[in-house]
Amino acid sequence: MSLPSESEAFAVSVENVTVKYRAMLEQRQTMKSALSRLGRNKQEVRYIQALKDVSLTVKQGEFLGVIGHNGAGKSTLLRTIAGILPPTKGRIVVNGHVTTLLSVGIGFNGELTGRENIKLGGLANGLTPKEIEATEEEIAEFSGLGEFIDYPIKTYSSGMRGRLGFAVAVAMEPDILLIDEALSAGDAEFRDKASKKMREIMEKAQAIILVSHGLSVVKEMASSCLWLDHGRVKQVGEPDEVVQAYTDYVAAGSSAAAHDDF
Amino acid sequence: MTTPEKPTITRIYDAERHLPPIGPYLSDTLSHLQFAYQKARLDLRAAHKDTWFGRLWNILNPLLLGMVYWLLVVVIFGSGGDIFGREGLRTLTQILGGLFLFGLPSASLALGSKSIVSGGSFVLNTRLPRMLLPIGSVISSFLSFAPSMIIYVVFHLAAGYEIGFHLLWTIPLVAILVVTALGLSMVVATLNVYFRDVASFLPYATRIWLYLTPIIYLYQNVPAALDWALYINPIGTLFASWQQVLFEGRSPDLVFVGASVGWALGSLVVGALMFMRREREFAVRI
Repeated sequence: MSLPSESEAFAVSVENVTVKYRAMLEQRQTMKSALSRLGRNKQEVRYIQALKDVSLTVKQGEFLGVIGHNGAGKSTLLRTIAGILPPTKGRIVVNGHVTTLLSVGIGFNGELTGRENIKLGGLANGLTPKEIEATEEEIAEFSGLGEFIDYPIKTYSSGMRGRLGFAVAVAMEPDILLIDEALSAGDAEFRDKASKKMREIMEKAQAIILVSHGLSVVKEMASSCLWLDHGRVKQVGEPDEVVQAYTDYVAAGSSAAAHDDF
Repeated sequence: MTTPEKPTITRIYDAERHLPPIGPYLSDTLSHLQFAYQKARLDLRAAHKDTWFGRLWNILNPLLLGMVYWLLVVVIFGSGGDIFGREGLRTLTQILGGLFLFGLPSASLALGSKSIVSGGSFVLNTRLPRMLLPIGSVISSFLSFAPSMIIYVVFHLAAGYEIGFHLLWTIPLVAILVVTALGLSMVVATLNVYFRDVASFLPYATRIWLYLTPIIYLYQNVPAALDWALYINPIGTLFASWQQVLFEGRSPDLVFVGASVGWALGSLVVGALMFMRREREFAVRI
């Protein structure tokens, strides 16, 4: 973990990024509601700052664990790095091929089978149909879904979805892997397999950013740790230190929201 | 699989930019067309539309609708010739030819309008150009449209319309229509993110559009004073050209083709710019 100004090869550089959402108080946005709003002349919009002036650099080979209370901006940070959410202010530079594994899973269409989702996931990541054919079995094997791989993913449990999503994401041989709470999805056996795979990715001098509420996972696997608090960087450093500081902070009751995480 | 020598990709996400860099955006889109195609195909399969009955319904639906309009024209208005005679069959063929083709833009808009809002995990979890979703809608619509042309051929032959090289014109005409449909789909896809009732109004708008386009009537029957109506309709001159090729056995008027190409390129550019300018907001809006 270091400031963006350092010249070492970085995988991700986040420079003074602020992300603001427009939260609509109205349930649904329609032309009807837009017209009726004209009459009242009232904007029912509230702004939520999910990230406030966040800067960080993730170096090649770094495994960054991101911790913080619910709503601290962890998932927003991942989505912004992945290029899914636009920053409201600031700039993000990413060096390398990013694969995201976000909590919602890979399901492009719940009616499609696991195998069809592997295919779409591969194409979405820029593989050719031939390359997908070559990796398909490997992915199915890794996910450990057995015959479920040929069932529609709407029949999957959330753990099964998580496993398939992880299997697809790591098979894409990403330079940078973004993971949101994936490890909490699988069972103990799958978790072992997944951590082994993540170590492999790191050995290839690639970078991983993992958002997790499981503090032990972060302590065990991450090489550095970022603590986000209400959208700001609270602390960055050695996982042991940061996790300890976070735990103390929560135990002291400084932030009621943080209790959600235990 | 990726090779070790693959070039490092650097991506920059900058708050100051409203439009993504257009060159890389388009090449990113083009390199993922296979994804859009497979997604369209698999979505059709998931909706059971590639089963035997699904395909049959794709053809039966416009076929039955065509019969309804035909009865309207021939029986109620008493035009279009004797119902059981050759003229009656020709009228039916004219209606079907137009109606089958109209299925392409109307399905594109219907699917396209919902493509982003129902794009769920694609929009929330990938950074791929969102343009792939309306492109997928147009591909789906094309895959549903193509088999209906086989049925049309049967009617074309039965009605005794001319066969010749002029029919090759149908290929560029369909291509122009695909481009127009894509442009308009991107417009409604964007609008529907902001106004969720756009998709609900669309069927009515589409129905009116159908009546304003030379489909259940011939373009020559449009009164001269209303000639401009063909030109302000994005697909008006295209359907007129379609009728010239199929039912008059000749190449279409170049003025018509030119106007159609103009509408196609115009819709594509306007639709694409509007879509690209807004697409980064989609993730927070759905």
